[in-house]
Amino acid sequence: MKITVDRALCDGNGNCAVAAPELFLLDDNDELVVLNDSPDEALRGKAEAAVRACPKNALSLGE
Amino acid sequence: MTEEEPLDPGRRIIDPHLHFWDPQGGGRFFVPEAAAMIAASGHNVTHSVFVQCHAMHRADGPEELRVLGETEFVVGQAAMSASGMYGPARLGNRIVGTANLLLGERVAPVLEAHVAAGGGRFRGIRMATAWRALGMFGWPADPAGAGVMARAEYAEGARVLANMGLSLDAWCFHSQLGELIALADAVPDLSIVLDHVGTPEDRSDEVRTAWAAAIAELARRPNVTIKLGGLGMDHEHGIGHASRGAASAELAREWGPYLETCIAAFGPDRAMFESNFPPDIATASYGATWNAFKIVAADYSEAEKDAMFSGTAARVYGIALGGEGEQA
Repeated sequence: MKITVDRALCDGNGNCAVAAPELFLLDDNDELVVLNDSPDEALRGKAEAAVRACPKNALSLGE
Repeated sequence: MTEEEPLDPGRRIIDPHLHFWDPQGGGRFFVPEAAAMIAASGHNVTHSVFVQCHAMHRADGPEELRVLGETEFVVGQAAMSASGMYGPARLGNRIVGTANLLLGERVAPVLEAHVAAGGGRFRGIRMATAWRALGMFGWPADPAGAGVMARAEYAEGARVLANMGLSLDAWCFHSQLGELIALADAVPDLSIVLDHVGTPEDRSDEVRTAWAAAIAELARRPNVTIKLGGLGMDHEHGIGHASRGAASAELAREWGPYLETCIAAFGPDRAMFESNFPPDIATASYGATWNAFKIVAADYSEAEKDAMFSGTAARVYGIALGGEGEQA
């Protein structure tokens, strides 16, 4: 599983960091930091929730 | 309550969600009270849209027509405001009343009566659909309220609204947004306005995640717009409790992530700030509420701010701006 962020779309709203704090963090400037872009299968549910919660459709999951 | 100094005081505001009412124990709030509140805030509110709140329904007559009393009442309030006696704002300039969409096609004569009574001000309806098993405002949940937006008669009534060029204000909890998404798909030419950002039931991470996903999905329906506000009302307790008196900076921190998520999903041209007063006085004054919105909006362009503070509301509710006699 591979997480991709479209930086041109990301608005720093932080819903992904709320949905999956293991994977995403907003830094002090509201910039998105991906903590782990290749997480274990155990985190697939949380990663998918983060993708759905993005209002800009800036996140995608690949294999 | 002491008011804050208004931020960006010249910016035009259309408040697309302001009630007039005289609820038991809640305190009378008519045009004179609203106009005084707005004047004290110092914000440049030029118009408001009245949204239904079960005010002044007729005590007699056929059940489905009793809702006409609310439109008749607000036409009178709007006339008071349009006289200029209470200040420059034109309050109740457009009217969102109510009707029972579960009547299906039989809602048509009710809506026609609203349009006739509205004297050009009637723009659409809201039907009380916010429902959760826990109940709200201190009242228990009515089992008949569960799943109401998913009923076939509801969509049938919504089609009548769409065919008449009227809009539907929807207020529901985040857990009901799936029903609203299905309705938006079923009646794609209906102008749907989601009130109060779709009311996340609490501020937990689980609820925010589910809410944000539903907002992102709903925003893909071009016939839906969203009202940015209503986060200050207290649906756990009754109306009329003392205000928390929160300051705008605190509110902007608390509400910002929710409001910004909606703006990101819908875009400024499909988003409008709303006061939801009087209910939102539970958290802050009118002036602090608008100051909070202005803090949240600070990083957007002038055109985007204009859209969110007045332009989107003017388009959705048919308020003509910028010309002679705009405030009629």
